[in-house]
Parts: sequence; C-alpha cells; structure tokens
Amino acid sequence: MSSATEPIDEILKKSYDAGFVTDIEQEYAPPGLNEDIVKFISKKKQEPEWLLQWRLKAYRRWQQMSEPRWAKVSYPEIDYQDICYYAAPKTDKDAPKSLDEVDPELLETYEKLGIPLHEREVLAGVAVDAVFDSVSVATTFREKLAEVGVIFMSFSEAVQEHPELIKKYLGSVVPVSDNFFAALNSAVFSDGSFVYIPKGVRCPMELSTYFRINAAKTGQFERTLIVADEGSYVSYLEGCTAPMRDENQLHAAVVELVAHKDAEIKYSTVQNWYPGDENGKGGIFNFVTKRGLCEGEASKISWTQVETGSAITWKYPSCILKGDDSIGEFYSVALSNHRQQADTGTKMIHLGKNTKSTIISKGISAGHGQQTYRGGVKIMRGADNARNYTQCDSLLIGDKCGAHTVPYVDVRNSTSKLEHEATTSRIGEDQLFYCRQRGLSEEDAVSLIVNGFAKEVLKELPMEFAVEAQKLLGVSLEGAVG
Amino acid sequence: MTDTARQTLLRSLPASFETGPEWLRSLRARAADALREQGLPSKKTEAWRFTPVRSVVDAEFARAPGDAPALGSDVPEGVRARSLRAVLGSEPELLEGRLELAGPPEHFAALNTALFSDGLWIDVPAGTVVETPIEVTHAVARAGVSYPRVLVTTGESAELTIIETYTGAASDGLTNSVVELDLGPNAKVSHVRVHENAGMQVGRVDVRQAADSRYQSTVVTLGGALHRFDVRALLQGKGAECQLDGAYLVEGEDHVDHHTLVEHQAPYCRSDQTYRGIASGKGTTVFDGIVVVHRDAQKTEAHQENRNLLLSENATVHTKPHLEIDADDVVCSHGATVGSLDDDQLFYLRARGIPEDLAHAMLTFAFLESIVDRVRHEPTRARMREALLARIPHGDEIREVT
Amino acid sequence: MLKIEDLHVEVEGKPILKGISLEVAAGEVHAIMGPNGSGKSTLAYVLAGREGYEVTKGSITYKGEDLLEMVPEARAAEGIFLGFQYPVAIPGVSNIYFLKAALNAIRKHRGQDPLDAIDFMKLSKEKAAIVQLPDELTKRSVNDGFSGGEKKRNEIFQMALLEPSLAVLDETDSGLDIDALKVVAQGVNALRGPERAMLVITHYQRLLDHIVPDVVHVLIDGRIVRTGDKNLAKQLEREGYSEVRDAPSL
Repeated sequence: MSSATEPIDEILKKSYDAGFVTDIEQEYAPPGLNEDIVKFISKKKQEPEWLLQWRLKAYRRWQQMSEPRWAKVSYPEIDYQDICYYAAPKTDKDAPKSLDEVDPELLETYEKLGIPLHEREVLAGVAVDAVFDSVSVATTFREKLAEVGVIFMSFSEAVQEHPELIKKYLGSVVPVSDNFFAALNSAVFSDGSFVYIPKGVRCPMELSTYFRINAAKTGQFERTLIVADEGSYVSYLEGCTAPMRDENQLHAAVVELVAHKDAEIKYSTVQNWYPGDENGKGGIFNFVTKRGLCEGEASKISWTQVETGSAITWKYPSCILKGDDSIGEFYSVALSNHRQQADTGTKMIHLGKNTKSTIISKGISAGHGQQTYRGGVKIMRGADNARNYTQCDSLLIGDKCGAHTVPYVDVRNSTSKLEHEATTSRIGEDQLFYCRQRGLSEEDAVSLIVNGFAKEVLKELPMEFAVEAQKLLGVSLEGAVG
Repeated sequence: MTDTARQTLLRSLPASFETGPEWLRSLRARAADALREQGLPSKKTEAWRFTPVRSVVDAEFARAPGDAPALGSDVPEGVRARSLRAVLGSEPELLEGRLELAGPPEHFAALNTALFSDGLWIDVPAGTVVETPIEVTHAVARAGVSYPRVLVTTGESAELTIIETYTGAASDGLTNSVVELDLGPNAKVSHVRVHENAGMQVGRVDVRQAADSRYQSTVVTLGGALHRFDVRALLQGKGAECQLDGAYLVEGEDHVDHHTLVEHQAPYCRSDQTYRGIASGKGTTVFDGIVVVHRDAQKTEAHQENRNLLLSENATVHTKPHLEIDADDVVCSHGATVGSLDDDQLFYLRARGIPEDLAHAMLTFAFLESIVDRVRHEPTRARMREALLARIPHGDEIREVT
Repeated sequence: MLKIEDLHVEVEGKPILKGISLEVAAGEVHAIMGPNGSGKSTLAYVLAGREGYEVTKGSITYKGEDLLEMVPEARAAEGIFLGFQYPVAIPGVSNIYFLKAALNAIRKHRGQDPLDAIDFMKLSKEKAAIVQLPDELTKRSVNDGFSGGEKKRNEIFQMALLEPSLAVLDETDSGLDIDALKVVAQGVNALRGPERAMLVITHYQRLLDHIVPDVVHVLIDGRIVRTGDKNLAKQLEREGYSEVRDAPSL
C-alpha cells in the first residue's frame, strides 16, 4: 500500500493539521433562531415561496420537539439561541464561475487541507464541490458532467435551476419531522450538494465534496440530496474538517439518497471534524441524519464511513430497502480517542422481497474514548427471503476507554435469515511485541494493527480516500499507548 | 412522566405499612413511595419497549390468596427451608439486610417488596453439598394477583440445585415473583425454572455472587399470555462464574420476554449466556441481554448467544444482545441469529422417510433440547425434556425415536 | 558480538534463568539445547526485550552496548532477530506490507533510504525463494491461517529479508515434518556468514543435523550445565538430558 513509503513518524507528530482559521471576510446572520432568521436565510438564497413555507413548517415542528437523549453520549446543553445560522464569505459578485475567480485565500485553505483543487482536477479526475461554511464556492467539472446529463451543483443553485427535482425529492427520505436535528436542519440549512444521475448513466468520475466549518460560533447545516435514476451509478465522497476552536460547534447535516430501479449509490465519508483537545475542550458536535431509500427493484445503496473526528458523533446512516431485490450496505470504522464520544451505527429496514443487507462495523476506543455501536435491523412481514449479516467488532486500547454494542433486531418474516456477531478485544501484547521485534515502533505497531482491524471497511473506500483514512487512524491514535 | 394514577395495579398499595419488623416496614414504604412517584413501566421505558406492559399495569386483579409456594417434595437433608412469614414473625433479625440484595428494587420487583405476604427462605450452610434438588412449585390456581418471594442463601462452598415450577391454567392471573440468591464464596447453585403457567407473569431473579462461586440458571418458558423475566447476576467476587441458559417457545398470541443482565464487577469472572427461542403462530419473543464489564473487571470473559427460529408468517422475534465494556483486558462476544429450519436438514429427514410435520417437530425439539442438555442433574434434565415434549407437536413420537 | 554474564531472570517473581554466561562471536552458530521448561524461550525473549521478563542480576552486552537498556524495536534495528516459536497472527495486515514497514524502519535507523515498492518487491521475491515460500503467502495477513510449517518458513523468510547480525531462532524446528525442516534449515544455512551470529534454540538434536553448530550449550533448570562441540548434541540424543546433566563437565 502506498502509505508504506510515508514516514509514519512524521504523521504521528502531527496533531490536527486542519486546525487553522481562514481569515476571510464573512457575512453573518445575527445569532439566534426565530422565524425571521428562517425567512432571512430563505431570502438570502432567493428561494421560492414553497421552500420558505417548507422551512417554516420544519421550524415549527422543531420547536415542539426535544433533543434526543437516548444515545450514550454526554455533552453540555446546547444553546440554540447562541448559534449563527448563516455565514457566507462576502464576494463582490455572484458565485465564481471558474477556479480563477475563487478567492485565492480560500484556495489556499483547501491547499492546506491537502485537497488542491487544481491538482485534483488534473491528476485524480475528481470533481469537487467545495462547501465553505454555508455557500458553495467552486464546482469543477460541471461542464464535463453536464455532457452526460449528470447534475452536480450546490443545493442553492439546484433550487434555482432544477426546482422540480428539489421539490419532488427534498424531504422524501428524511421528512422534516423525522428527528430533532433533521427538523433543525430543514429549517435553517444553508447549502449543500445536489446530484442527479439520469437513467442509465454511469457517472464518469467520483464526485466529491469537502465540507468545512470555518467561522467561529457557526453551526453548519448542510443538506445533500442524491438521486440516481433507473440503471445509473454514482460514487460520492464526502470529507470533513474543521478548525481548532475552544468552544464547541454544532454540525447537523441531512443526507438523503434515492436509488431507483437497478441504480446504485456508493456514499463514502471520511469524517475528521475537530475532536477537541486531550481534555475534551472544544470540538464538533456532529448530529447527522443520513438515510437512503432503495426505491426501485434491485437498487443498491452502500454507506462507507471512517469517523475519526468530532467530540460527539451521533450518526446512523440507514437504508430503507423498499424495492424487491434491493441491497443495503454499511461499512464503518469509528475511532474515539482522548475524550471523544461516538454513538454510531445504522438501520436497515427490509420491506421488499429478497432484500439483502450487510453491516460491518469496527469500533476502536482509546484514551478516555467512548464508543457505541447502535444498530437496528428490521425485517418486516412482506420481506420474504430477506437476509442480513451483521458483524461488529470493538478494539480497546488502554483501560480508561469503553466499547458498547447495542443492536436491535426485529424480525417478522419466517423466510428471512439474520445473523449478528460481535466481539470485543484488546490489542494483544504479543502482537505488539512481534511487530516491535521486527523493528516497528510501538506507535507504528498500533497503527498497523488498527489498520488491519479496520481493513474490511477501508477496502470499501475509493483508493485515495483509503490512504487518507489510514493516515488519519494513525494520527488520531497518537499518544494512545505507552 | 408516567401517569401513575391510571395504573390500576398500584391501587392496592396501602398508605402505610403497619405489620412486621421495623426494617421491613421501611423497605416496603420506600418501595411504595418509589412506585407512587415513578410508576410501573410503560412502553416508553427502554427496557419495556417491546413488552405490552399496559395489559398488566392497567388491568384489575383481585388479590389471590396466599403467596407462599409449595415445596414439591421432601426437603433434602442439609437444606433449611422455612416460611418467610414464619421467620419474619419469630426471628425477623435473621432476615434483616438479606432482602433486596441487589439494591433497591424498581417497578414490579418493588411492588413485590411492598406487597408480598409470604414466601420461602432456603438456606444451605457452609460446606454442605446437597445432591438432591429442592423443588418449589408456584401453582396459580385462581385468577388474581400473587406475589411469590423466595430467598436462597448459601454459605461458603455449599452446593444446591433448585427446581422452580410455575404452573396453572388460569389465563387471567398475574404472578409477580421475586427470587433472590446470595451465593457465598465457592458456592455452586444450579437453578432451574420451568414456566408452564398460562397466565401473565412478571418475574425477577437477582443473584449476588461471591468469589469463585458458580451460578447456573436454566429457564424453560412454554408459552404464556405475557411472560416477562429478568435475571440479573452480579459477579462481585473474583473468579465468579455464571451461566444463564434459556429455551422458550411461543404459539397462539403468546408473548414471552427474557431479559438478562450480567454485571462483571470483579476481575477473572466468566459469564456465558445461551438463549434459544421458537416463535410460531402470532406469538412474539423478546430477548434482551446485557453484559456490563466494569472498569476494574479485567480478565473478564463474557459470551452471549441468542438463536431464534421464526416458524410462522405472523410471529415476531426481537433480539437485542448488548455489551457495555469499560475494561480493556477482556474477551467478550455476542451473537444473534433469526432464521427458519434448515432446508437441507429437513430434506435429509424426509428423504429417510420421515413425514414433513414430524421432521419439523424433530428439528424444533432438537433446537431447544440443546439448552436442556446443559443441565447436569440427570433426573432434572429428563423432567425438563418431558416438559418440552409435552408442548411440541408429535412429542410422543419424538420421545420414541430420540 | 554477544556477551551474556551471570544472567538471572524472573518471570512473575519466579526465577527462571539462574546465572547464565555465554559469548557468541560474529560468524559463529551456537545451539542451546534443553528440556521443556529449562528457560530456553525465556533467554530468547530476554534477548529480544519482551516485557514481563525481569533481569534481577547480570548483564548482556551486544556489539559493545548494554542491550538491556534498549527497547525491542531498537534491538531489532541494531540487528537482533527473534524467530518466534509461536508466531502470532495479525489479522488484516498483509505480510508484505508488514515487512516493508519493518525493513524501512530498520533502514531508517541505519541511515539508509527507504526502499520503494518496486525494489522491495524484487527483494522480497528473491528472499521468498530461499525458503520456497509461495507468493500467495507473502500477500496474506501476517501468520493468519498459516499452518505450523508455513509460519516457520515465514519467520526465516523475514529473517532473510531483514538481514540481522544476530539471529535467535526459538524452536524453529518444532512442528515441522522432515521435508519442511530441510527447507527451513537450508534457508538458515544460506544466511550463515562471517558477519552474522546465530543462536539456535532447540529441544531436539534433529535440527542440528541440518544446521551444524560451532558450539553446543545444554541448558537445564536455568543454568548452562555443559558446553561442547556438535558431538555434545549427538551424545544428548543417545543418552538423554539427565545423563548429560549428571556427567562431569568436559
């Protein structure tokens, strides 16, 4: 693997590389949330009336809801009136049309993050829709994608250019009242990405979005909607980083996927939001709702996630397997070091006949980290011959961390078959010694063993993401042993 | 939170407790206060979300006469079995501090603490090894609610087998039982429970284990309108071991619900759970097993397995094996499966001339029998096997061929 | 190269090695023979620096340095290789990737540039041929699902690749049939050289027919009771450990 040639020592030395703040002029909405703010956001984005009404409906529902407290995470109360719900870089004109028009300082930000747009354009052939706080600043490769009919643009643009698609699919998988955080997002989401793959089209490149929270005291509420029409295919990558700040920041995104007949969506995430420092100060509160609907026959949705960041992670990318013969997959590596807490997993809801789901979850706890796998598999009455296989393994490093496994299984069809396996173990002293005897330092040995533990999931990631994810696991475990 | 006024089952709580020793009156009063404040569980209570608990909580029950179970056979030599009521009347100091060994009870166990009128105290002194099982029968003959209570205490290195049977055809009765076991160092207790009563039952078993003790529980639950059992084992001494096994079967509109909680509080303890269930008809089964490994419980080994056969279109299986681990030097695993009978095995049997329905029954029986086979006391094993055969179609034929 | 003086080692408070002295020069192959429980593996682990083996007395000098001061990976980088009796499996980590990481860590210590993937693959193929290790095994996870013989061959393959100055081979013959034993022994012999010392630990004389030692030590109950040439091993084979222990030293 290519990371072998990287001097791992150097990587281990790094703390949180993405922890810089870009000094750029921003436009803020005043902190706090009320109907006026919702209207302000909608107006800023020149949205049609129906969307404003949709947001207001969500806002009113949200007011009646309370924050979910069932997850095994603890955090101080969030003051929703102390958060800015809109921040956008000030630009002289409208959104830039090419990279040349993008603020050079912004481009430098991406440079530091290791995603130079130009380089990606040329070398990797990845189209990047970069979301800087709330507004999409650059979308590359749009024209090339447009040739095959693929729509890939910021959510706000899509609202203007393809209102009929947005109206049809927005909230169709995650309704506004789905949960507290989804309702909040629905009321105040500022931007995000929209992807539409037309019938029979295999998207010619990996689509990728890097999200970044920059402004202080800013919540990020992006919204992603991906629709794969009949017989199409798309692979979508999402990377996340945030600058280091002492106070906590809220991230409440919603991702909706719709796969029609014979379509396939592969959604990969490398989440490296700022996790807070060793003592648990600062860090992102990540409350995300991700759900895919396998609407059509033989459709497939596959979630792959590598979660190394955030102070709090609350996230359950799920699949509703409605179409007969549809397939749902969830591959996850989640790592909690220092004071991080992650409560993550998936839900697989089998409605259609011959539906299949696979869940592979690998949790790693180190330091004072707390890690919970929470998963639900439901096989409903009509889901004849449904199959589920779940494997969730936990690896413990050190004696102050915790690993918890909470699967819920509900089966109502006698022709279905479900298997769930879970193990919890520690890194073996004999494994560490073996590696060290061959000349590897203890940190490298841990990183190696952890990457081996997570391999089944990492191999699901597109190549360049896999390398990044491996490095991240090493960096995130810094100081975990010894 | 919960509307306690609506919970008719709570109406029988008296305003104050006037009889019995002072310490018991205060236990009862505390339990009653807690219930008045928090109420009995509702579907919103996480541990009760799959249990149709309203049918118990909101029903009207007369108080069935007498909570004392019967001793099924002669009390084996070496065992002291006494009526709780008698001891509380004559030597209450013997029981002070020995009830509620797992801490203040909640929900139905609290209700039992407040209202039990009699029960059994089984004690085996240190060093006494009792080979013959002691048999305890709770017969639910009449409709109404009863609150059986059993306390088992064993001294160091004592050994005992208890067989508890719950019987009775009254489908509108409620049995709310609490069984507590306190195992001394190196004590070995094998605890068999057979539930074959038709009515509703909520039962709790609390086990506290000292160092190197061993507790083996085998539960067989054969249907029931609503059966809910909670077993909690607290492994408090180094090297303690517990094995919790269960076999259950639902048909018709039965609801059978098994919850286990094993708390590893000390190092070098082992726990092993194997529950197997069969859901047919419109029945529902629930298994919810939790293993908690506390920070200091290094070198823990804990395993948990729940396998289910779902045999009809309208049955439902819930399973939730659950690990909470706060120590690092541990080996823990759990597994759960839900499926139907193996087609290859069925075909094999039929190819040898066995009719399909008998082949079905044979495989179903074999699936549950493997749990019963783990009971070491042979006569007990045979009895449990019989209880299973009595419930499984073609039981007589299977008895002949196996 | 290696000098052990009056080495006493305890494991969990129990004395295992009770005063061992031993000197191995570059180019020499020493065999350590002894019955089960005599402390052979303990000696191997102490040399490699495993935790839990407490040196209560004595010293080990390696290339003029105090070996006991070094962490395991530093010893490896300085050229100490332990062929494990029971190599542990590391699921998910490919053998080849593992070795590349190890070799480059060692090269870095020596001030050499890391090998790139192409050079490494070339080297690896060359070395795998020495022990006839199939290509497929080099790509599998480290020792995961390997047979006993495959594990031992893998150990020698690793040794060939890492080119140590002092190889400590702990029961490299256990669990091998005679054909596998020959292959492994050939591999070891191919690596003998004037710059390299070897400490071959074994219970059985059989291995020493194939790897002929310069010096043989008999370790019983934590002490070296006899030292001799290769004929001592033959004598042991004939007479057994108790005879040798009780006989006067040569």
